[in-house]
Amino acid sequence: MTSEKKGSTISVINQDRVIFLLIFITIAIPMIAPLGLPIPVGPTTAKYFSTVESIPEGSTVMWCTGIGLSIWYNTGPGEIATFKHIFELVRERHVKFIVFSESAQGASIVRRILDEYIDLSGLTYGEDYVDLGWIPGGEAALAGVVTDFQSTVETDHEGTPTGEILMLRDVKGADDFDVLGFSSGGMIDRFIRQWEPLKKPILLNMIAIGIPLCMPYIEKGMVMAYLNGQRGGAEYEKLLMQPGMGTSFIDAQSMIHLYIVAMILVVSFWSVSRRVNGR
Amino acid sequence: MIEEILLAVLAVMAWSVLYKQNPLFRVAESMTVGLTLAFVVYTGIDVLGKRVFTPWSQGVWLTPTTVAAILGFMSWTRLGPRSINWISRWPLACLAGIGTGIAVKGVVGPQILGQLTTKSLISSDPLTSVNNIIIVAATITTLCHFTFSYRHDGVLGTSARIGRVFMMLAFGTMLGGFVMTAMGYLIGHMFVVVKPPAVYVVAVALAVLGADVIRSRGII
Repeated sequence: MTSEKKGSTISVINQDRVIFLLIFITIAIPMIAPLGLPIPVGPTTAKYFSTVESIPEGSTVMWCTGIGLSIWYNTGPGEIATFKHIFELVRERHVKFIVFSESAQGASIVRRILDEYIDLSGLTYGEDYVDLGWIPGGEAALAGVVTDFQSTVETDHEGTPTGEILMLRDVKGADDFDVLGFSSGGMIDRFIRQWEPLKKPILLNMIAIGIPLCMPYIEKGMVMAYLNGQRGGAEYEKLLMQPGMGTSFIDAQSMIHLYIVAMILVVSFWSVSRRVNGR
Repeated sequence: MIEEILLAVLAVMAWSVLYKQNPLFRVAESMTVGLTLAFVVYTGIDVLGKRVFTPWSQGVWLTPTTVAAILGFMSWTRLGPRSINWISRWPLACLAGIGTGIAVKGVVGPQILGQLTTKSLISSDPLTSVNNIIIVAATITTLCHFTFSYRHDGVLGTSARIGRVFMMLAFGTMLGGFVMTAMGYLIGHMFVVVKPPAVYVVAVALAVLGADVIRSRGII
């Protein structure tokens, strides 16, 4: 955008401006007037849903929110839907839910989801669910929570010692968890290194761009099921029959897909025609 | 309501760079860095208070977290006189040693052996079989591309060229994923800014933009 080519009908700067303006318009239209496009549920999201749905009565689920605020709109829908689904199981099947974060921002996201999106009425903090907040230490913390929980996690997010929290008193390590899950906006290698050897079901809510990097672990079954970014979140909301943020985004996402495909075709055609004309 | 208006103001300030460089964009850029840093520092101090200073005030001196905190404080000696700088090397050594030890423990199983073992290339699903063969071919040919001990002639040259095509496909896929993820951010913000009260901020921004276009006598 810093250079301006002479000799073309629209300068390079203004070509960029037109492209961006069209992007804004393409996204804004379905936001203002929803198109109601269908949301076909893919096999990966269906597997994720059925994996969560099949968590047996009385199980303990440990979830690590590893996303930051910058990717909230991409992974947030899946994160909220996952929490909603697990909290349904907390009510219906007495599943215990332990959630923590490996970053400061992740901890605030957990608080936001619990405060704004989850109905916690009738549930008892410390008996049905617990928020451990930010557990600093990166990969060492991920290793610690499954090998020596009590030493790694001394308090919950409010500073209450774990020894005073009923559902955490007897938690020692991996044997006390039935399902592990996490969300991430980057490399997931550290989670796999520390949690895969435990041979527990692992769930993943991943930013769309990170999915190709996760495929070696998904193909090998190390990650049992995963959600693919915003789209996965929308599909999951449909399966839960609880439309939310992801569903609101899906029209705009479909439109922008079409726009990008159209742009690729237009630019390719334009480029080829320039070559043919010898310019 | 204030949250939505603030989001819209910041979003519009950030997007204004798409029109041209301007002071509002630089303010938004600096605010993002500053606010993120402030948030992390605040949360860090909060965690220190709850997990280190509170136990200390209750007479609990030695816990894993307090040991980690002490190591953290030791690293600050780098900022002090040269005579005590050496103390900061210990936490760094612990960090590197423990970090490597913990990471290596899980590398061999899931990341090396787990990726090398396979039951069969041929699966009952024909597409999976084709996929498996493509994975093997892509791995070998890409490795050929990075084999610099021999001239890329003959079979090696052909393999290297095929490997380059596989890499281009992989990078293209990643770029496509990146673009779509970036669009996801935009969609999220647009969801807020097209609705009142944030839409009024956008209206003001568009008016300012229009005025500037007219002032500069039409660019397009």
